[in-house]
Amino acid sequence: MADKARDLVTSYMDDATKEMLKVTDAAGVETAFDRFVAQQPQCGFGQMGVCCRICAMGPCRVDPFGNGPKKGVCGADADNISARFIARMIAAGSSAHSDHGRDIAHTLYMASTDPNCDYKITDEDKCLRIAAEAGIATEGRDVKEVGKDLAELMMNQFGQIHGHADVFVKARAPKQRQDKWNELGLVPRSIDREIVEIMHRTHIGVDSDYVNILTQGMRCSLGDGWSGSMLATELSDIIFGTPSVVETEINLGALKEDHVNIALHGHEPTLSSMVVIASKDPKVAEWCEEVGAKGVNLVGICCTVNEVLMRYGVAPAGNFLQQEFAMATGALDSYIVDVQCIFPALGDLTKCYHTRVYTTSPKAKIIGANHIEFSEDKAYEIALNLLHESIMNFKNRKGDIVIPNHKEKLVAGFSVETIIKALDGVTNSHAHPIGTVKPLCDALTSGVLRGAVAMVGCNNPHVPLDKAHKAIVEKLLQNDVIVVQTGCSALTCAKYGFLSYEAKDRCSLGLKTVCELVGIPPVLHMGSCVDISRIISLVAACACYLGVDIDQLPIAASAPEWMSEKAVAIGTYAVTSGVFTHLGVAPQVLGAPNVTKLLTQDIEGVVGGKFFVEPDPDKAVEGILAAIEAKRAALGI
Amino acid sequence: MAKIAFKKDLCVGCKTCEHACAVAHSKAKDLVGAIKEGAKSRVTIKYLADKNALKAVQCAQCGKAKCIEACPADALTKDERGVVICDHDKCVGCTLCEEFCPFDAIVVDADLDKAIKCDLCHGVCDEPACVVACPTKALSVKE
Repeated sequence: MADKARDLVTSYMDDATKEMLKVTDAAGVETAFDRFVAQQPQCGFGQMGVCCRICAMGPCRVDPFGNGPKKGVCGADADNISARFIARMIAAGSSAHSDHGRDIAHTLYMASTDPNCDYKITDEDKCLRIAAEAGIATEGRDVKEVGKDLAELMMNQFGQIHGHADVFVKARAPKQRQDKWNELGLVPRSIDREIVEIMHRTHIGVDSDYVNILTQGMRCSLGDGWSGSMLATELSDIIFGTPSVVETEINLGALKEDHVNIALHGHEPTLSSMVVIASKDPKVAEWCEEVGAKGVNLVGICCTVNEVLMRYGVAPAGNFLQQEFAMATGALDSYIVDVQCIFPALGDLTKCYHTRVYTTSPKAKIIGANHIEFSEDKAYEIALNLLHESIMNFKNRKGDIVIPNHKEKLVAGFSVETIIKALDGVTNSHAHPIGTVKPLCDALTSGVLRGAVAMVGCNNPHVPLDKAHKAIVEKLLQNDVIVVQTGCSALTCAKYGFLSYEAKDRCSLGLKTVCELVGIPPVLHMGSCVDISRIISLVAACACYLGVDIDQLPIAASAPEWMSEKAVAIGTYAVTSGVFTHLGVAPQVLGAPNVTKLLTQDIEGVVGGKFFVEPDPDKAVEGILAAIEAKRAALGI
Repeated sequence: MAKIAFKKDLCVGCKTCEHACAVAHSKAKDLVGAIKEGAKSRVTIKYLADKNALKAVQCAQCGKAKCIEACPADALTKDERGVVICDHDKCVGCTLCEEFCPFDAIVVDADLDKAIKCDLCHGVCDEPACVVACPTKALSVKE
């Protein structure tokens, strides 16, 4: 039985992972796949979202089969229990993204006010542009003064007493959308407040109306997508530079045997960017020579690598579920990790491999790892120290080194600015202003492109590795649907060559023509998971250009292999923004009939978007295409 | 004679066995589908307040089975392993078996109007689903 389950969960994966799985199996090293199999069968009450552990009268469970209890001790039914649970997932996800944003805003403040700060305002134009968008005076002012005001305004979005956290909502959302949100009371009052209010409402004996709870979840999620995440993206661009087109390679084959391999893992650009900058320090080359290495080879996993891939072209060694295999190559000298999606298992793996795992955030320590705490005010010094420690560990390599000889070409760096620049190349500047999304909108309205899909999310062993991603993206490209991506989802599709210029040959004619004319791959990598805000900004710009609301556009979102609470927050802000959102893994609500109906049907009548749960990739594509065609028909295009 | 043995000291009352049983005996073979079609479990974990203990209510596959004796339609028989099997083509849903069972381990399903009971997953899956599912190994097959 266990064997069958393992065969299923490992039935599909890229060649590099396949090779490494043989290595870990032969060495008897346990990975997430083994732990997933050991967890089977997973608790049905949990899967169905009808288990409540919120107070000590419990734990309570509602029996989804009808013989057992229908209510918890307090009287909460399945809908109440699962709504509270989902709202708390939204709160956690929004916390993760927004706390990331808070640190970035603080870094911009330091860069603007402290002349000795290692961080500088790299993209001055963007600083002035975003400040102007936010209503800050820029005319004739020093960029650092503007940067300080912008950082303060953004930090205030987290905990302001009066008004709303709506700087970007007001500047970017279509008017119809803003009116709808105002009418429904969905504009967040401040980022932190909505998170706190979810925790209050879901305390025993507060909010027991599932509609009211989920409405608060939607308001909180907007504080993530349109504030916390969005400011994280925009301010990161100001500090580290706005991404432009970069080309590199992806997968475990990016590791180099004769180099010191350092993987940057987690989610934030702050330390990881500084490591990239410090790796050019002459001392680094000296240290490498000392230990007999040819140099430092920076790679990465998850969204930290997406941040430094987008801006510096650092090669991703893989996606979320490959993190253990990078260590198992025996060639990884250190993991420098910050926050989010870092397996606690990496600490245990240090017993099997020479890799040092360096935790760097006071928020994220791992037993078995070495902790070298990062602080923005000594950023360069700490980055250099981490490089030194990593290089010195090169000498401790032991045993066989197995680096799978598999990597794939990848193009990234598609910020909204880069996309608009590419679109300018096909704009007749004599007839139309440049710097708009006109060519993209024209392609959509003319039908050359049937639609656009944002494919995002994680890996999840509930789905054989990468399988759903690959199947869905393949079909979308064959149906003239352009795909934009972020996060591990982008890394997944990159492993199969979809993020390369050559991938145009795997597309149907309309999309292929667009790729050739504009000079882009059919799948655009827009960054890390907080950078889904880039997608939101692009979508909003298209809606504003066409004079329609977001829910009228022929677009959809898809998270085929999602797993994290952040994904729940993202899915909720996408739906609340009016986007038809496919989920390949069912959220833990199916034991609650009314919550399920609300999220997958009724919510559409309120905000224009809804969730579409479909594990089967073929049926998912059918559903997505049908939704896109329905929007086209309604628009008369 | 095969039956399911229950070690009460290992049971944590998670009821994973109940879900696995209902899913195994459903047409859909997955949790969502099983809930939708109203599939029922053939094992129930009960809390005995007087003894402060847990009990698995499940067919004991009695040597001299009262349910078989009571059945007027000859729907209940023993298979080669001694497992009591109900032939739904013959069962008339009279509930006599339910009345005569000393363990409350056979019931007539209101939707099917047929008796259902633990069949050790005879013809359903290779190993009893509850045994495979139990995360603490409180359930096992006793031959």
